Amino acid sequence: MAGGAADCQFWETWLNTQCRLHELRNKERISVAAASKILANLTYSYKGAGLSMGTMICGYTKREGPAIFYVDSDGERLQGDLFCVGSGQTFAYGVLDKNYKWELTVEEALDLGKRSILAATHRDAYSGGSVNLYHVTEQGWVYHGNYDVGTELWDAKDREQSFNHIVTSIPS
Amino acid sequence: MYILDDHIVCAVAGIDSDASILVNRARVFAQSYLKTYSEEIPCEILVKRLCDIKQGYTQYGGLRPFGVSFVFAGYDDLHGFQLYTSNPSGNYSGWKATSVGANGASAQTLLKQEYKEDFSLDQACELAMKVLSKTMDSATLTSEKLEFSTVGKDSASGKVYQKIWKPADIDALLKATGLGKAEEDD
Amino acid sequence: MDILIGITTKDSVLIATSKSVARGVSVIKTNDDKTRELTDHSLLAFSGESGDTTNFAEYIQANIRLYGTRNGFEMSNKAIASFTRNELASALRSRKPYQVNILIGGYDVKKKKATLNWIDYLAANVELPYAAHGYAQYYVLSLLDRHHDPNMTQEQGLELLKDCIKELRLRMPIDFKGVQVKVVDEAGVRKLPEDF
Repeated sequence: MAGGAADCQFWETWLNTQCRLHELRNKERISVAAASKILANLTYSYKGAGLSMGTMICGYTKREGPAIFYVDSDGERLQGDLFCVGSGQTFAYGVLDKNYKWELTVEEALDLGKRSILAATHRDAYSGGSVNLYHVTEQGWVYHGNYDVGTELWDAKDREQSFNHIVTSIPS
Repeated sequence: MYILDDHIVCAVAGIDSDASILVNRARVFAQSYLKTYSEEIPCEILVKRLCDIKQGYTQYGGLRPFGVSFVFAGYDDLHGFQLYTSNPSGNYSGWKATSVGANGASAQTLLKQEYKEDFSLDQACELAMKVLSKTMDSATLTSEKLEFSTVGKDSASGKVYQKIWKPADIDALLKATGLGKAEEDD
Repeated sequence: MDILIGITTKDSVLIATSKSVARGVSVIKTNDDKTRELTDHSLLAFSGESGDTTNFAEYIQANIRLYGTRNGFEMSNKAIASFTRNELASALRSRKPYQVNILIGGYDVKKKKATLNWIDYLAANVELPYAAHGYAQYYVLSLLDRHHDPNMTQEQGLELLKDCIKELRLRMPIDFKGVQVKVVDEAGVRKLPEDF
């Protein structure tokens, strides 16, 4: 989620409630398409009232396979297999588009996701702090840890010989 | 006899004041459909919507149902010429020839015996008059006791027309069919 | 700005819609479908304010399907266009108007006639032989004025459409990521596999 912290926090816990109710009523987990449409219909009903949200609803069901839906506070809802959302989205896209391919392994995908966010936190003044990684499978989501971008940056710079605009020693 | 729209007319049996309420509703329906869809309302949709109103009064307590049966005659591109009846319960049905009201059942029997698929308009008018002469309680048929209307399609222009007959036209038909005088046995 | 183009031929309608979706400075989708099927022989294409577009299109779609199941027959394309116009018109003077521009392509199986209706967010509705929305209009209308023929075959129509897209690729300042083309004819609605 990105945008207004309060809006995102409130409506995504609300969405969680709706999904849980669906599960109790239908004895089946909600589809990604349906879950995202619940949120999209909600944001559309508040259109013009000042909500600010950019979200991705990610899931895996037997029927849909892996699915991502982009939902924002305009009421827009799009399916796709690659999205970046937020003020730093352009920086994240830059790294992600270059290195993304469908055949990525889980480990490669987690690394690429983390690296894309790192790129955004570095260049976008309004992004930063730490990166959370999740892997969503048919069995549910698996948390893959929290990474402080302060240390991640130096690790990446060392490992990749990247971020070469950052100079750590005074040239003689 | 009421004109509901350019392509559909109806005849009434029952309480006239109830009928005029429904006729007014039907005319509003027809115009609102035309406004929404830029097309004349298909006959069955209009009949169905009137019957939905009628049905509503059979379901809830406190109000009296509409004491009206209708005969609708109309034309649309979907099913061509059409004839419907509806009753106070809100049921409606389509017919090739039908009757409602006092002695409606005996009129229906006569129609069933004498109706032919390939009737011309003149033949149909003659049959209608004959059935009326045998089923109406009054001894003599005159234009003062009858209303008569036809819906047709002009063969040259292809335009649908409706004709609510003038007394003179009815008298002419009565004279032509020999039914105007005191009832004779065939 | 999204691109919508519609061209009628002797026995079909071609509807082309741009595939890109842009939010702010990012293109976030490059294979978007800006159309909804209303009946077996009617297609609605839409552009405009994000959120409004799909919501309005799906609302119209639901209403037209409801009419079909209630009455046992499908609405004509004239009726569909008129209904859509009325919905836009009543929304226009409401608290929250729909800012959606629309093309409706249809084929009447009985009359064997293809129709195209152009409707803008101000609820103007016109039946036309060819039409476009957005900035694409400024390039392709002149081209269509010059080369469209109501008696052209579907193949000729597609060639003309390709000329339109070629011009847009050359002159439009923003990449629209190509167009998706759908055909409405006697057989119904189908998406063309070709990459335009």
